[in-house]
Amino acid sequence: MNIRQFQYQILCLSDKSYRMALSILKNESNARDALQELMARLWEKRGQLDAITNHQAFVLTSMRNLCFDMLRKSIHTLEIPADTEYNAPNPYQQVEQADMMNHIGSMIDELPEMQRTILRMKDVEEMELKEIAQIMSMTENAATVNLSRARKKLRDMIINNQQKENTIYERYR
Amino acid sequence: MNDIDNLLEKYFNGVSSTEEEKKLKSYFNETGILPEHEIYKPLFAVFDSERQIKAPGIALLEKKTKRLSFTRRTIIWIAGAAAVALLAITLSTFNSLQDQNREYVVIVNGKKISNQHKARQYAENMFAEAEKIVENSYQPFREAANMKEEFNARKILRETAQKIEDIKTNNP
Repeated sequence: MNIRQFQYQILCLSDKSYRMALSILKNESNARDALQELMARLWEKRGQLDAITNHQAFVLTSMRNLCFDMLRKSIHTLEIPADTEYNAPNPYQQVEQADMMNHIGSMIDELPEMQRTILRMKDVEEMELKEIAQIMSMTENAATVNLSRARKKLRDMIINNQQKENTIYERYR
Repeated sequence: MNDIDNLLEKYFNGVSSTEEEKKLKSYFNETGILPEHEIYKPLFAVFDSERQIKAPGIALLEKKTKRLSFTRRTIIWIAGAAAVALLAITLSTFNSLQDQNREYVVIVNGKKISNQHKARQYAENMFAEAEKIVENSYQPFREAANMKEEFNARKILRETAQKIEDIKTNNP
């Protein structure tokens, strides 16, 4: 695989790979590292990439495994970056967090990794269940079950949230 | 809009087709959503906004491998240069040592002195000068020590207390 082919078949999957890393690692800088590492490794092995038929499934599977490796390592070292600082949410952020979309984003992040990865591949990346099942190395049926669980949990959380807001509204009206 | 309810039901059961999901997404993307569906709107909006997240630029891959070999090359270059320099130094000192063995020669400030007495004098002078320099450089430390002594809080307090006592006894 030459640089042009690599660009068209592998590098174009950067966005999807990055979003997957972001979903699993929940940290922008680690996700960037993961993407850099993944692409560097794939570039080194570009000679073997021609043999692979489904590049997207291969790249995303590799990304998921790489992210798990990174998570495992970070559990061992429990690294907290030196420049970490605690930012207490200011009133503006609190208003922002009340924003339903951010709320749902964090709801998705609270789902178990398998469910949120499948959900995002289906609903954000709009991939077919068959391919998702291949990446997750599970049957299509199992992927459907996980997807359904994830979506139903989100629905329950949204409805719960709505009810909570309604009761608060009723109380202070 | 019973249709949308059906689609939502299928969606949450994970059995909706890609086609049906597209229909749902376009429904929630447009105006005229029924009030009972309104709560699901942000869910689909989140998917849309997450899809906009772009990967950051990554370092050109070819450069990375090149840079590795480049650093290795520079290391080899530096090591080679250092080895050559070391060899040159040892050879030259070895040569000059051999020269000196023939007669009594002392090199002071680049001057060759062959008279033993003179060389000794010269050296003693230099030692004296060096001592003076050391002495001078100690001066600030001594001053600091004096200052420390002077500004000793306990001493000052004691003296002030003494003064207060004196004033008290003088003016009963």
